[in-house]
Amino acid sequence: MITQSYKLSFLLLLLAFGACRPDTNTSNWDVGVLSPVLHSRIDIQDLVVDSLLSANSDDQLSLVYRSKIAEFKFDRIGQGFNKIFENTVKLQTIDLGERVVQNQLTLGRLASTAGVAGAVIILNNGQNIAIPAFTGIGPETFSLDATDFFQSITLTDGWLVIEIENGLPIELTNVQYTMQNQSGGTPIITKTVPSILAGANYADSVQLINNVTIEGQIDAILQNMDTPGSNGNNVLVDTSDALTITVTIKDLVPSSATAIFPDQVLIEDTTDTEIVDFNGELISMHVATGKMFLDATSTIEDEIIFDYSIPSAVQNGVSLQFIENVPPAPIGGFSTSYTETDIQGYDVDLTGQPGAMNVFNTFFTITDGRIDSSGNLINLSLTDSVFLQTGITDLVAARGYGYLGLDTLNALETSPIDLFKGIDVDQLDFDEVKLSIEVYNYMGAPLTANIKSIESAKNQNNTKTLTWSMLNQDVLVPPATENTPGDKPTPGSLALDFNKTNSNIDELFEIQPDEITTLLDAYLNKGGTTADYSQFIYLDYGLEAYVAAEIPLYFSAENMLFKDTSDFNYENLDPDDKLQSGDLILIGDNNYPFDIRVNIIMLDADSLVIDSLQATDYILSGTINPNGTVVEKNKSQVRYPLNPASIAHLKDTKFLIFEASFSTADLPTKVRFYTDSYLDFTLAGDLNIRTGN
Amino acid sequence: MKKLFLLFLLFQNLSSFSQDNDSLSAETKRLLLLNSSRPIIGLEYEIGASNNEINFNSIQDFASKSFLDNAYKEDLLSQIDGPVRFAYWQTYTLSWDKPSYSILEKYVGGSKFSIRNEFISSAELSEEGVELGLFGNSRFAGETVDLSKSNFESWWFTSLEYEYDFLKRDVNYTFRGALVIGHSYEYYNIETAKVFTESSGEYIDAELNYDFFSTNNNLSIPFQGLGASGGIKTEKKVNKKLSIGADLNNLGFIYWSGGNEVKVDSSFRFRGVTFDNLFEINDSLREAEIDKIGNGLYLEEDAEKASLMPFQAQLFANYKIDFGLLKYLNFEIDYRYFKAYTPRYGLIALIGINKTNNAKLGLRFGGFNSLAIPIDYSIQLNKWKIAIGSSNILALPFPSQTVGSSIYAGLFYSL
Repeated sequence: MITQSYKLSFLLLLLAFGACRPDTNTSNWDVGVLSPVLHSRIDIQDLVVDSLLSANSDDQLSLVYRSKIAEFKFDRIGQGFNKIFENTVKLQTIDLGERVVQNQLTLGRLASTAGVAGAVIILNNGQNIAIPAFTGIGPETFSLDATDFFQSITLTDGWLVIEIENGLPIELTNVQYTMQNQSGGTPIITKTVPSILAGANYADSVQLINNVTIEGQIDAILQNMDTPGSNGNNVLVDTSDALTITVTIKDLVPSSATAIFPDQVLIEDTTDTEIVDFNGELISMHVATGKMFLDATSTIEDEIIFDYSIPSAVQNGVSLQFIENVPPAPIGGFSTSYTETDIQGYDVDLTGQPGAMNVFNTFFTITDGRIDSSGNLINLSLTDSVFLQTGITDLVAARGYGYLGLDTLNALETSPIDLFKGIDVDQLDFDEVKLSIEVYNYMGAPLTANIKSIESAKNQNNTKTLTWSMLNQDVLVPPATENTPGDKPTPGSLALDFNKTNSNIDELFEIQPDEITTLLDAYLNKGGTTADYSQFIYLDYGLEAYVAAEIPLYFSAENMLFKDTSDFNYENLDPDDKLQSGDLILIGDNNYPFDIRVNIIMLDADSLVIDSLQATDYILSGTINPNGTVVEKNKSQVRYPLNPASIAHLKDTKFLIFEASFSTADLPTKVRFYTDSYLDFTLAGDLNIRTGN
Repeated sequence: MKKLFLLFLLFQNLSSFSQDNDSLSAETKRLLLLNSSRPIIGLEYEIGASNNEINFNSIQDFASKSFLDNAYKEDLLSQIDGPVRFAYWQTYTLSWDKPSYSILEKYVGGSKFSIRNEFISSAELSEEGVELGLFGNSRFAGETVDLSKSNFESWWFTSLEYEYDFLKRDVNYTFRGALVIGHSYEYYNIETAKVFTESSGEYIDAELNYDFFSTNNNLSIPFQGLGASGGIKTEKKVNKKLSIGADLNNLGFIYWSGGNEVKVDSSFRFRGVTFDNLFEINDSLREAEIDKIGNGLYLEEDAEKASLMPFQAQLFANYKIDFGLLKYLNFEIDYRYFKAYTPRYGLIALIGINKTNNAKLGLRFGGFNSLAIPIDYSIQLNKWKIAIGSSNILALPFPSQTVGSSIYAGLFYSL
C-alpha cells in the first residue's frame, strides 16, 4: 500500500509540474499585413463556355450557340399495353379415361359346385369325354377390383359395358347375372342371358346416369347358369378353360370421384391479342418493357401444368414460352401459383396467327393446361375448378415497324437559353447575328412541319417575337433511315436560316433571352394515300428542333453584368477572428476592351443582402485603337474598405455574389473580342490583424 | 525510479556513518547527532527575462498588458538599435537537501534530491525583424525586410536530479546527475530571410533559408522527450581565506520525439493562391492550391531531434573578509547557453547581518551587455527559512534604464 501511494504521489508530482505550461504569450497587438490573397486570369473562356466560342482566321471570337428548343414524340408506341385473359376449368371437362376390370371363372371351379357331374369332369381332366348336362350352377360371386383406378365415382353420365367370353367347351344357358357395388345398394345391372355357345362372346351395356355411384369394388354375381353338356359328343376336358368376364366403364362425366386420374388436358386455348388505339398498321415490334404472367388458383388435388406461350415473340431464335406447375390443392382447400416472365427484348410479329391475311397490330397467345397423372388417388367433385388468369402487362414497344398512319402534333415548347445566364446588360447591340432552326425527324415516315411562331423572352416579361416570311408555311422533313435495328436512326433533317436581312432575329437575342418558345405543328404521313409498311418508329426518338446561332463578338455594351454566387464561410478564412480592419485591393492587368467594376454583395443564410463592398473605381480597359481592338493592356486597382461593421457582416455571410459590371469603352462604338482577351487580377489584402490566441 | 531514489538516500547515509559507527561510543554518537546537518525540504521559484536593448519597463508592459497599442510599439522600437538578443526563464524547484557538515574536523558530504521544472527560451532577432513582428509588413510596402541571422530556441522540461558532494584532498566536489523529462521544444534558425512586399501587395518576393522544429504542444500529458544531464562543481581552498572553483550545471541532452520539422531553402514570388478558373473555386480546390504552394516552398515532415540542454558554466573565487557585516567577497564569470549570450562578470558580497539574517549584494556586467545589481536576502525563523532575491535590483527603481531582471523566492524547512 505504501509503495502504491508513493508511486501515485510521485506521478502526481510529475504531472503537476509537467501540466503547468508557462504562459509566455500574454499580450496581443495589431499588425498590418499587406499580402496577395489570390491570383487568377479571367480570359474569354471563363466568361463564355468554351464550346460556345469559335475564332475566325483573325482570332476574332464569335459565340456559336446551339440549343434544343423542342423535342416531340408521337407517343404511339410509348403507352403501356395490358391484356388479361381469364379461364375457369371445371371438372366435367376432365377426362377420367376408360377403366377396365376383368375376372375369370374356370371349368374346374364350375365343376366343383356341380355335384357328381362335376366330379366326372374333374376326374376326366385331359380326357375326351361326353360332358353331361347339369343345371343350377351358382350362385357364384366374384369381385371386380378397380381400386387401382378409383375408389368411387358418382356419375352424371357414362357407360358400363359387360363382356362374357365363354372359353368352356360347353354351351351355357339361362345365365343370370347381377352387378352391384360391393357395399350393396341397388344393383347396377341384372340380366338373364338365354345362351352363350361354347367359344362365343356375349356383351351388354348400361348407361350410368342420375348420379349413380360406381365403387372400385364391384361384385359380379352369377345367380344361375345351366348347361346342356356336350350333347353326347366327346370333348376335351380342360379344367383351366374359363369363362372370362370383362367390365368396362367409360365416357364418364363425373359429378365427383375419388380416382387416379390419367394424363389429360384441361385447357387448350389460342387467343388473338390486338394492340388497340394504334392508328397505323404495325407488322412487328421490339419490346422495350413488359411482362407475361400466369396466375392460377386450383382446388384440384393433383398438380396441374400450364404451358403459356406467344409463338410469334422471338428472342435469339427462341419463341416466348414458360411453363408453370400449380401444386395439388390440399383436401378441402386450394392452391395458388403466380409467375411472370420479362419479355423485354423480344421481337413480336404482329400479323396474327400463321396463315392470317391482312392482320396487323395483332399477336396471339397459346395457353395449355394438363394433369400429368401422379398415380395417387385423389378426390374431385364438380365444384372443383382451376381459375386461371394469363396476360400481358405494361407492354411498351421500343420500336415498331409497319405503316405508321396519319397523325398530327400541335406542340408549344418553351426551352431555356443559357447563353446569357448570369449576364445583365443595360444595352446590347449585336452587329451580325446568324441563326438557323434545324429540325430532325427520327421517324421512318415523312413529317411535315409548320412553325407557327418563335418568341424569345427575358424574365418572362420582356419578349420579342420573330418576324419571318416562312412562318406558317409547310416544310417537309424527310424520313429517317434505320441503319441497325436498335441504334439511333439517321434522322431526316431540315435547316431554316435566319439573318438580319430576312428576319428580326438579332432583336430576339439583344434582349438577352433566358427562354425561347416555339409553336409548331407537325404532321405524320400528311397527304399519303397508300400504306407504306417499310416505315418505323422508335420510342426514344421523335422530332427534335434546335436553334443554332452565330454571334460575332463585335458589339457595344453598357453595364453588362456578370453575377456569380459562391458559398462563403468566414471561419475558413479567419477562424480566430484576427481581422480588425483594412482594405481589400483588386489589382487588374486588363486586356479586355471594357472597363470592369466588381461589387461584392454579402448574403446571409436566408439569402438576404446584409452588406456589400462597393467599388468606387473601375479596372480600366485596355487601350483600344479606332478599329475597336485592344492594342495594350492597362494596370489599375480598386480598394474595398473593410471596417469593423463590414467585418461583422462578413461573419454572418453565407453567400457572396460577385457582380462584375462591364462597359465597353467609347460607347456606342463597338469593340472586338479576340482569343487573347484576358484580365489578370490579384486580390490583395492590406489588413490589420490582431496577434495572439 | 523510487527504488533508485531510496538507494541513493541509503547509500548516502551509510557512507557517512557506517565506517565509524561501530567503534564510536554512545556519547560520541550523541555528539554526532547534535552537530550533523538536518535534512531541509525546499520549494523555490524564479522568473526572469533579459535582453540587450529593451528596458525592463517595456518588458513588464509586454508581459502585463493585454493589448499593445501603437504608442507602446513605437516606444519599444525606438529603444532598439541593432539585433535584439533576448532570454526568458522560469523555474520551479522542489528539493530534499541534506547539507554537508564537519564534525571533529571530519567532512561529511551532503546530498540533495530535487525535482526542477524549467522553461527557458532565448532568441536573437534583427531590428527589422522586431519591427516586422510589431507592425507587420504594411510598413515595408515597396521595401525589403531582412530577417537573416535570427534564431530562437525554447525548452520546457522537468529534471529529477540527485547531487552529492564530498571532500577529497581539500577539494570539495559536487556531482550532479539527472533524468530529464522533456515537455516541449521549439527551435528555429533563420540563416537567410529577405522579404520584399510590392507597394500594393500584388506580390511578395522572398528569399528564405531556415529550418524550424517543434514538438506537438497540444498533448494533454506533455511528455515528448527524454534525456539526461549532469554537472560538477569543484572548489578548492587556496589558503584560509581564498578558495576558487568551477561549476558546470545542466549539461546534457534531451531526445525529442513526435516533432515536426520544416526546412525552407527557396526564393520565390508569392502572388496569392492561384486559381485557373476563378468561377470554380471551392474548399477542396483552395486547400489543394495552398498545399501546392506549401509543397513547393518547404519540406515539412515528422522528425526527432536531440537538443543540447541550456547549461550554465561558472568560474568563481571566494575571498573571506569577515570585516564587520561583510563576510565574503565572491568573484564570478559565468555563461548561460542562451542565444548570443556573452560571458557575464560579477562581484558579490556576502553580508552576514546576524545569525539568522544574511544578504548578498553585488555587481554584474555581461550576458546581454547589461549592468545589473543582484541582491539576495534570507532569514531563518526556527526551522523555517525564507529567501528572496533578484538578479538585478536596479529594475525596481530604474525600470526604464535596465534591460533585464529576475525575481526569486524560496521557502525551506529543516526536518
